[in-house]
Formats: sequence, structure tokens, C-alpha cells
Amino acid sequence: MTTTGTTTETTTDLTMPARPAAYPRNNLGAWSLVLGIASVVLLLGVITGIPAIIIGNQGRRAVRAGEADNERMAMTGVVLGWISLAVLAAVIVLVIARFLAGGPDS
Amino acid sequence: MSGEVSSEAPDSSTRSSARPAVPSALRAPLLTGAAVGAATLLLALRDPHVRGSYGFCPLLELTGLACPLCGGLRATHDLAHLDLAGAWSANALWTVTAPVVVVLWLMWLVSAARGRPVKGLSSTAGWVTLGVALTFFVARNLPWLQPYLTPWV
Repeated sequence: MTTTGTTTETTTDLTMPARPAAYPRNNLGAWSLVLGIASVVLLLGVITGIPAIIIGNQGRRAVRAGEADNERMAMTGVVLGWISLAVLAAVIVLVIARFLAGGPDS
Repeated sequence: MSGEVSSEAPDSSTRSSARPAVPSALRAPLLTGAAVGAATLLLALRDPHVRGSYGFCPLLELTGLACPLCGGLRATHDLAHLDLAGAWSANALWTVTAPVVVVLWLMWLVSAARGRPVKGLSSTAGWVTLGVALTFFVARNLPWLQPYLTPWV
């Protein structure tokens, strides 16, 4: 009885140092959100929007691998990145329309 | 005797396995450095001060707002020509940030060359960068700071 009790205790003690930082790749999701916010709020658009999508998807892969736990943060970054792409498409249409309507003085 | 042999054996095996891994680890930082270097060379030779030389910015064209990167190409051109004052007037934030980026790249290169695991930038660094960029964005579009931070608008 006492021997089984000590063995279970030692196994739990051994699994603890196996994970020094619980989620070492949470920075991917955070950076994806930072770049996503920069693309929409700082009006940087696809310049940071495309990196937000790429890093956000790396972050989601890290969540699936058990190296991160911020799936929502990474997903938000990816969505914001895609929004920046949609905004760029709309802006291009707007600029062309304005140029055709008002001439080159715009 | 047997203890000495067993302690030396894993040491030599890790050395031989680590040797071929070094060039592949160096590939990413070297390719990044080459790409950024080529872009800088292009900017140094083809002057972005000439209006429309690299196209136009839709944001500046439509709203007249200067984003935190506005003047970044001109600042890079001026930095490549060692014109610090010109770079500062084009984009003060990038003039300060560009050397930090170079140092970060050197740290990446060194840790890759030594076979250390390359850690990405921390979450805290991300939020600090966002805060600084947001402050700069607001400051350079304020009417009384515009003559200093965005003189061409």
C-alpha cells in the first residue's frame, strides 16, 4: 500500500518538470492578434494583415499540438487579417471608381 | 574505466549529429537577410522621394491620414545614405526601429549558428510594439505635431 502510494507520487512529480512553461508558443497567437489589430486599427492593411494570417495559422497549429492554449486569440488575428484583405479590395474598387468619375485630379 | 567510456560516447554522438543540422538552421536567417538587403539596395538606388516612383498609398490618397509606416521607404533610403536627419523627418519611428530590427536579426543569426533553439518574440514585445505604433500614429496626425512628424502632408 505504502509502496504504490509513493510510486504514484513520484510519477506525478516526474511529469511536473517535463513541462517547464505550460504553453511555450502562446506568443504566436498574441503576435497574430497584434498584427491583426495593427492592420485594422493602425490602417496598415495587408502589410501586417497577411503576416497576421500566416502567424495566426501557425498559432492554431501550435494549439492543436498542445504547445499553446490561445486558439481564440490566434483565430481573431486570422479574421482581422482577412478583414484587411477585404478592405484593400474595397479600397482598390473605390480608387478606380473615383479616378474614372473625377479624372486624374483626385 | 567503463564509466569514462560511457560518458564520452554520447558526447561524440551528439557532436556528429549536430554538425549537418547547422547549415539548414542558418538558411532562414540568411535568406531573410538577403531579401531585406536586396530591398534596401533597391531603395538606395531608386529614390522613393520621387513622387509615384513606387506607386501611391491608397490610405493617404483617400483620407490624407499618415499611417505609422508613412515615409518608411524614404526613411530607409535616407538611412542607406547615412542621412539621419532626412530619415528622422520622413519617419521618426522607423529611424529608431530599423537598428533594433538589425540587432534582432543578428541575434537570430547567432543563435541559429550556435544551434540554439530560436524563440520567437515574446507576447509582451508584441503589445509594447502595438502601443508605441498606436501612439506614433495618433501623434503624427495631430495638427500641432504634423509639421514635425509628417511634414509633407
